[in-house]
Amino acid sequence: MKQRRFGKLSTVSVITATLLSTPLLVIVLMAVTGKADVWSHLWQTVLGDYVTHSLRLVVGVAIGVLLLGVSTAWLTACCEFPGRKLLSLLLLLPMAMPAYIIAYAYTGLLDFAGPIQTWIRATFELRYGEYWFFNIHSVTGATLMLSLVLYPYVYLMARAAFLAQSAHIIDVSRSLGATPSRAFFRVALPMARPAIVAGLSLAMMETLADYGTVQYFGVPTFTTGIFRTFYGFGDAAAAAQLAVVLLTFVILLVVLEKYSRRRISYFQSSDRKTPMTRLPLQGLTAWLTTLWCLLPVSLGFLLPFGLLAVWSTSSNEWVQGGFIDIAVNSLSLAAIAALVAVLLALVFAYAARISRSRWVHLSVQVTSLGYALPGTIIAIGVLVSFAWIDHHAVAAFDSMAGTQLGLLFSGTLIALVFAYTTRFLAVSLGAVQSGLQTIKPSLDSTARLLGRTPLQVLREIHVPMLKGSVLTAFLIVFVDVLKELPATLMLRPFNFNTLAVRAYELASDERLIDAAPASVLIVLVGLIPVFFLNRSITKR
Amino acid sequence: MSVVSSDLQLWLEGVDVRYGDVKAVSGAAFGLHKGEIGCLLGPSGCGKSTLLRAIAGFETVAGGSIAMAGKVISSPTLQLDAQERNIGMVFQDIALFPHLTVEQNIAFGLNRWPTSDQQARVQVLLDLIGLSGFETRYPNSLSGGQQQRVALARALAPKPAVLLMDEPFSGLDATLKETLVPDVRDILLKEGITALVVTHDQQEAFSIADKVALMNQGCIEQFSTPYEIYHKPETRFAADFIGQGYFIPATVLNSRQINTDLGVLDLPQESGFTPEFTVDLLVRPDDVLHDDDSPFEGEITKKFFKGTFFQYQVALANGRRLWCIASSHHNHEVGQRIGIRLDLDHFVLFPC
Repeated sequence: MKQRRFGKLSTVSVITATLLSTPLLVIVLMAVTGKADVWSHLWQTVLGDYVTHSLRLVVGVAIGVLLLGVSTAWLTACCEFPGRKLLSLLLLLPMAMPAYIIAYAYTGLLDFAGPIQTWIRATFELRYGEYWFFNIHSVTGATLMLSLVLYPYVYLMARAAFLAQSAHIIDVSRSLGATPSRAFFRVALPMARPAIVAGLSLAMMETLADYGTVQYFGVPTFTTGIFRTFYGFGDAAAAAQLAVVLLTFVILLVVLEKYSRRRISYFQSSDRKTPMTRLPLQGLTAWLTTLWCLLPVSLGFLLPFGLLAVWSTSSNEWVQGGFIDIAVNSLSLAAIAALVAVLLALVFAYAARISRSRWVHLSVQVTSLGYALPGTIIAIGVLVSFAWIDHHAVAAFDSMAGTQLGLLFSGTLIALVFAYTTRFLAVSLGAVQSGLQTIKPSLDSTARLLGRTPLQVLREIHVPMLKGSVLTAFLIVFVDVLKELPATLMLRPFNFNTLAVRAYELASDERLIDAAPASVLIVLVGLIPVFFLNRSITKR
Repeated sequence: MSVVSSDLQLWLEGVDVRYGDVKAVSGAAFGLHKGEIGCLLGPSGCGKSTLLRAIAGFETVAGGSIAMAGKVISSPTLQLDAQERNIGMVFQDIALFPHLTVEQNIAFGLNRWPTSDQQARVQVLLDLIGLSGFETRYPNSLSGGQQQRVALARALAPKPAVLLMDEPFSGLDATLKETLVPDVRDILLKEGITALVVTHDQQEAFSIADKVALMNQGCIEQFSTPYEIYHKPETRFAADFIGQGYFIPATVLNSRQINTDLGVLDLPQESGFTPEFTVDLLVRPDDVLHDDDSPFEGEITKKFFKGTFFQYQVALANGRRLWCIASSHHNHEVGQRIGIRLDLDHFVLFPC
């Protein structure tokens, strides 16, 4: 009986993994079989720009998130200063803020018509072009926006690493005559390095995947280039070739992340009996520390969210026809996708737990790479594969069965949910697997020995113990789908709109005030999983 | 269903367990009477946990058979499901259900009992493990020793025919172990249960078990009481693994005498070796006495103060080493030469 069940789960996961990796395989296939003359044309014209901009962006964001993430992580983990506890939670808030939305807020604040430049002109009686002001629609601007919302990845990982360090390790280095700063640079920081690098690679992946911010700021990068090549020039092969170049960078980051994650365990002592005593900061230092930690919170969340909230009150977008519909569309689409992702994650997690088959474990590995894929690339892969199915498979079925099914998959919600699953299954799988890890195999064995059938074990032990992680998995995917922009933009059915797309369209039309309500809603919903993260952080 | 000798509560005969092509256990055979506490002792990777899992029904056997109370439960052709074996098990990681209270954990296997019987049984067990009043606590609020006792009570609750314990004390610190191991033995004896404990720690095995099965590389080397395992090891491995001691070479003079570096020794019974044969004699620390009148001397190379006695390592003139126990007022320094004498009760001889 056990054999049969395991067989089913394994089969489902292997088939799902194959389906989910099809879009990616299609892209690679297109890139390889595509004509080379397009490639040389791309090389001579835009490729240089894409490479420079993407690299500048990634390097800039890396420096930004390291600076903000590591400093705040160490200060909140190892020092005592006014407001430390509250700040350690607030520092997570920017996670709820999608980069393209923070970009709208700062554009509204800093551009020519914004309050600051208007005030400068009025006060100093200057006119356009007579003074210098920071242009946010630039690579630097995009770097700042992305750094402000992506540093929490580094903050979270680094903080956990600092907290896991044994107090004795630091004490030992102090007893050997190291000053606090030497202890930090020679001991604490190197020990936390694998965790920091893992967080950093996640932030860099997000940067490479970003479409909304760079498109809005008019910075040509790989993602916008792929989009333009595909739609503007209608050249799928060239878009695929660009995608493969971008994928190469992404794969490097994935390898870096996996490698670092493996090393984290070597660097953390398993038994930490003495809780760390935090270094008490006093006087001016203490208050400067508070200010420093308040900086990313204010700039990454409080200020932009405040602006958006204020603007949204003066917009009549709320009552505009369609806003409710769009919100309902968005939320139900996110709920469906999250449900699918969680159900599949459960299948994968259990298949991996029960089965020793190499294929099952390979499937889990393959699907858990989805988070690294930029939405633009997934969208093109899905578009091309579904179009092929519609034009060949469904057409063949029509001619055989005499039906008129037409385009069955392209431009439908199925395509959209499929793309979301490809991208976010990894996220839900991670959450479910970490929950399932707490249910040690010996718990199953004990319950079985005490007379329970496998189904009863599932109901009495697994369901109550797994509830929390499944809910977390659902919420994270729900919010990720709600925020997702490029894939939604490319795959949504005709006349179907979501909050993210609506905000993007209005902002692109320079109607920032009207983009605010949708943005505020996205951020508010995005706060829910951050709240859950908070709870798990305070528990520690 | 085949019937086997029924005065044994647990009986193994020629049990083989395989992982693919690897033989994890081969030809394991022993038996435990009702109420007896047995122990599988051996270095890590010797197959003791695998054998335990085979008895529990988590592994299938490739050869031989396992029987409980005269009924075969495992053989290459028959495999009774784990939950139908009436076996209780305590795992190395304790494995309490974290979302259930102490009471709910203990009552977990009693779900088919009437409620009043369940409550009564839980109370009896809580008394037995000394945790009355802890009914509504959750596992994470208990200490390691308390969790271990709850896990034991949970396994005992449905009155299994046999209780298996897989390295039950390995996660606990030494002081706790010292009090918990005898406590657990008392609890097992009071319940009158047949139990089999897996451990790699011989002190633990000696203090909990009536019978020890010493395992090495998938085979049971010896199955006997702790006393016999220590004093009458049947194999070189058993002699090496259990306790301390050195082998010294000896020549067989006749059926009742051997010649060693420390003189000619008389054997209490015939050795079975032919004269001129060279053998190794096992010498335990308590077999070597400090005696100033002895014609044999050794130089002290190491010294351990154990409170009531000293344990010296001495080197003979030819460089051979021995352990020697001396009472605590015979305080000598490393490098000093002392007289030693062999005083053996048990002659353990192996051919070279």
